[in-house]
Parts: sequence; C-alpha cells; structure tokens
Amino acid sequence: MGSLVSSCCSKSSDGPTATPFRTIALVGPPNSGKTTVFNRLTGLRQKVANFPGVTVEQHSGTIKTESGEVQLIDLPGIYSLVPHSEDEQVTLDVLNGEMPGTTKPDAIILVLDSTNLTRHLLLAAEVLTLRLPCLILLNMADSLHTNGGSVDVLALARELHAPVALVSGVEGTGLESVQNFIEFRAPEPTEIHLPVMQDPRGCREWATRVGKQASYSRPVPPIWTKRLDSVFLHRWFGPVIFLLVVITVFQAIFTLAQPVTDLMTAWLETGGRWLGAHMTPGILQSLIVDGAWKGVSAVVVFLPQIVILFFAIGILEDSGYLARAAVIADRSMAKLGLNGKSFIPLLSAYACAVPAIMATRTIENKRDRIATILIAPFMTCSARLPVYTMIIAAFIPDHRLLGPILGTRAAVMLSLYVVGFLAALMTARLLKSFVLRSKPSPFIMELPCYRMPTMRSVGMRIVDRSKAFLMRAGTVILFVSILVWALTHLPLKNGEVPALENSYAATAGHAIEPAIAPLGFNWKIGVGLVSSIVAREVIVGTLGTLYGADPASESMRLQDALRRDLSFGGAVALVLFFAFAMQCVSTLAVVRRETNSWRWPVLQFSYMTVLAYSCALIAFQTLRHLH
Amino acid sequence: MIFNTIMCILTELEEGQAAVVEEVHLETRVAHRLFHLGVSPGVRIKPMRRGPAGNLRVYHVEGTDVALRGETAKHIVVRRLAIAAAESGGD
Repeated sequence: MGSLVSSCCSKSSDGPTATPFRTIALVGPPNSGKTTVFNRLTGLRQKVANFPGVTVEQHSGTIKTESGEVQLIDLPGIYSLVPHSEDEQVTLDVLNGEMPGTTKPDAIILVLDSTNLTRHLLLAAEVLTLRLPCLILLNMADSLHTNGGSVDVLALARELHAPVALVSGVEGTGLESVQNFIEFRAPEPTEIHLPVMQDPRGCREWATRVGKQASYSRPVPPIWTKRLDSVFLHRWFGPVIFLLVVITVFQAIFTLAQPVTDLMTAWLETGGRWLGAHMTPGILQSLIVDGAWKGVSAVVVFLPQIVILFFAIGILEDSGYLARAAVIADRSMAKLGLNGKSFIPLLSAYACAVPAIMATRTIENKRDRIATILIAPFMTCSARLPVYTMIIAAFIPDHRLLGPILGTRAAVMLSLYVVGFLAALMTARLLKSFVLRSKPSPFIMELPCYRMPTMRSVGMRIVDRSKAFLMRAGTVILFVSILVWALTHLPLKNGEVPALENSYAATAGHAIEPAIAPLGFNWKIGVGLVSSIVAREVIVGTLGTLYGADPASESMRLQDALRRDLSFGGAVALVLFFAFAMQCVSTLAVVRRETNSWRWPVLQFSYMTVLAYSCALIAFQTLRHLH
Repeated sequence: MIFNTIMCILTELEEGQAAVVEEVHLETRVAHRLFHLGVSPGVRIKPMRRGPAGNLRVYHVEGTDVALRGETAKHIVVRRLAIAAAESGGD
C-alpha cells in the first residue's frame, strides 16, 4: 500500500507564509464514492440546505485542521462541467463564485473512481481548466488493488500539474493528503495542455494518453458483480427477486418498527402523565400536556419506520442493487410514461412522501420528475396508518380469511394500499397523456460494481434523515398541535375553558358541516379533517381530544365513540377520503420547494381533494342504506 | 487483428459480440451524457445481457456496465469486430 502516499507534499515548498484555504468545494462524478469521502472528512459536522432558487441540496461540513476549520461544500455528483442539467449548472456556478449566498471556493477536492480512471479523467480536465488549486483523490484504492489494478500517482500528478492521492473512503486510508493539501496550500495549477471539450475523439485520446503516462492499468471487474448480475438481472429471477426485496422492505417497515413504536408510545404517554403530574393543574398544564406533548408524540412515534426505511434504502443503494432495481422497474414505469428512476422515490413514499419527493432529484427529465412528485402522495404513507387502524378497529370485525395468514382487518388494510397505488397509476397516466406529455426520456443508467455497504455510511444517512424528520415534528407539528388545542379551549368564558360545543373548533366544525354531511361526517369529523390538513395522523389526536371533551362520550373508548357517530358508509367514505386527499402541509411545502413554483402544489392539492371528496361522496351515497 | 467492417446499429448486436462505436446520432444532451459514461466514437462496446425489461440492455463499455433502452441504442452506429479480434481482449 506504499502508493497510498500522497504526492502533494512534494509541492509544499511555499510553506506557512500562504494563508490556508477557507472554503473548499468537493467535486466528483456519481458513483465515485464522493459522499463517503465527504462523510470521512467532516464526520457529523455537517449541515444540509438548499441552494437558493434551485432544487439542488447543498451539504456542507467542516474539516478540522491544525490551523483551524475549513468549510467543505459537497457539490452534486456530475459527469461534466458542461451545464446540461441543474446539478451541473449549480456546480459550475458555485465554482465560479456565481452562486448567491455561497462564497467562491478557494480550492477544489476532486474525487474520481480509481477503478474507472480513464473515463473520469475527462472531468478532471474540465475542473483543472478552472485554475483553482485542486487536489485529486483517486478513490476506491481498496478495489483497485484487490482487483489487480494500479496507477503511478506521481506520474499522474506530473501529467495533470496537480497533487494526486490514492484514497479509500470506505477504509479511510490516504485522507491525510487532504490535511497536507490544506496546511501547505498547493499552488494554482500551471497552464497545461488540455483537450478541447467539443472534440470527443480528442478528449478520449488525451485521457488514454494521460492514463498511459501514469501507467494506469484498469482492474479486472470483480467476478461476483458479473455473477450477481446474471441472477439479479436475469429475465425471470430478476423480477422475482425484485418483488421479494420490495416486499421485505415493506414487511420490515411494519413488523420490525411496530414493537419499537409501541414502546415509544408507552414511554411518551408515561412522559406526558409525569409532566402533567408535576405541573399545577390549569390552562398552562393543559396546553403543554394535551396540546404540545400529545400532538408531537403522535408524530414522533413514526421515527422507527423512517429509520428502518432509510436503513433499507441505504443498504440497497450502497450495495449497488438499487441501480439494478431501477433497471427492472423500468419496463413497468415505461408503461406509465415514466422511467425506472421513478421507482426509488415511489418506494420511499410508502414511508413518507417528503423524503420521496426529495429523492426525485435523480430523475433528469423535468416532466418525469414533476409527474413522480405529483403521484408520490398517493402511496400509502405511514401517517395514514394510524387513521386506517383507528377506523378498521372500530368498524371491521376481526375474522379469519386465509387461515392464520390473512384476517379481515389485514385484508382491508392491504386493499387500502392497493387503492392508493391504483390512484397513483391512474394519475400518472393522466398526467403523462395531457399535462406533462413529453418524449420518452432516455433511460441511461450506470450499473456500478456491487460493494459491501458500510454501517458508517448507512448510519450517517439515517442520522441525516431522522434529524430532518424530528425537525418537522418540532416545528410544524408542534405549532399545529398548539393551534388545535387553542381552538378547542377558546374562547374563555369568565376565565373558564368553554364547553366543547361553544369552542372555536365547534364553530368552525359546524360551519363546514353542510359540505361534509353528504359524506356522512358530522362536525367533529369535520374538525378532524381540517386539523389533519397539517398531517394526516393529527385527526386521531384531534378526535381523541374532541370526544374526550364531550361529556356524552368522555368515558367511551375512541372506537366506540366513533361507531356511535359514524355509519359504516361514513367510515368507508372517511378512509377513502384519507387514501386520496392531500392532507399534509409538509408534503405541500416540499413540493413547492422542489418544483420552485406554487402552481404544482396548488394543482396537486386541488386534484387530490376533488378526487377524495368525489370518491367519499360516491361511497357514502351508495352504502348509506347498509346497516 | 482482422476487422469485419460491417456496420450496424447497436441494437442489432448479438449478446457478447464486441463492436466499436462509430457514430452517435442523439441530441447533444444525451450524447454528452453517453460520452461521459464512455459511449463515444472509437470506444469498444459489448452487449452483456438483455435486461428483464424487454428492450432494455446492459452494455459493457470502458470497464463499466451501462443500461440503455432500445430507443436510445438504435441511434448508435457501431462497427462489428471479428470474433477473433474481439477475443484478443483489452482495448
């Protein structure tokens, strides 16, 4: 492993007189392991933000060096600096100092895949023409060596007039070169002869020549990548394995998460009781315990599902399987007018539409991306689960259907998943035939070699996403919980909390009653519906509060109270309403951010509400005479 | 090396039949993307397997596997290499 020694120290003659770098940009092609390197260099000192005006996420972190902290900006994975995509445009703008709010980096760390060097040298040529000090990290040194490849780092550095180091982001080797690069401040690259980008043949010849000068020998592609692909991409086994993987992820989200969720629910309830007992009874106690605590707990309990989902996605993505899954899903997606890249976001949407919509960034075709964003909320997200569970428990008797495997309740739950999926399919067809018609976008997918996922990188992803989720619970959900509490406890009458019938919530509920009566809903359900615009699961808490505050039902269980107030037809209407309606402010906000316009979230909200209302109306009016 | 100079389009290649890319007739954006994945004139390409998804196929090029749909691949003109040349390895 002697070749891991960086060559950049040989250029360190100007010593400590130069000021060290303050801001460094991390650039590299997709699948070069750039994120792993970023995580290695910055650890948990990261933050995520969006570049202004665009949908590209900006990860930045700090590198600790002896002379202080250096900011490292992780730019999106790009193949080229010629701006054909939003990612490429953003990268170019940041590197040229034209991105508002981001300081122009004073150096670049370029991460290339050492097992695919010739191809990636083309990006190096483009980056070097920017004339910023640049450190080139040849990543995946471990794979290069184990598969019999080699490269002369010093010779390559001479050819490119820039320091080069062989590193392994996975193993964490060779990264001391980054410290050296920062401490000794490598000079700007001198003018070197680089190919003209408009001449593809010339570029290739240049890359091949540089590769030869650096005695680069490409490693043999690992044999098991070929073997695994002959199974995973097999005409028959491929789709079967794909389905098994999807079902396993699903099953894991529900079965593995359930005990943890139950445990968390119990803890949070105990916590709430403890809090209540340690406060003087009164309006403040009620606000904090019944309003804030209960509202936020109702959402926080979904954390285990989010963690498991991102654990699964992390493993699938880091191992390289997700690229194959996209290949397999491509055919079905093509029938909808989308392509295989829409599959990953749609799978994530079963946990939560918010990360799913953020995951659509990998879809290059803008129209396909918007179509995927618009259908994602139809996938049965975990926030619908508590609502479905509540209604099913109240209205569906528990009988066996298929022996011990499937009961009536599970069957109803499953059919609700199917209903949501069908709505997504129908909507995709509609969108792609009218609003978002486009030429079929080319599906070009690089299939990286299979690699063993590391717990470190999967763990970082889970931390990242969980943080985002908890932030939401701590802000939006907290705010609404307090709002709903206020509406049910105000206006004060002679300093006393009014009876529920006289609260603002009741006034509002009665006001919308004419609109929802044809669906079989009374005013309490109406208040629940309105409050659940914030997040679907809020209705469970709201109904709990409402029925709890009503003397006629306060001693009943929520399910019994519901059965008293809602007919069977009304219950069907309610679940259908929840299957189709866009009851989620976070999703709307993320759609607004990702599409960068109000047009799409408004269209989506209207379409989904109309669909939900009509289906609920038809269901109730058809079933009203039943029972 | 004996070259069989028959030109054909990428989709017509048999599995495992090596060829050299001659022309890429696609819009600049797509051609550029393919170029950076290694698919450009002068490069050796070899269809690996027809994917489960009908017209999708995986091609081996420059040490990487790239999946392309038939409607993209049919705009790429290649020159078949004789089997003897194809088996001499390397590129």
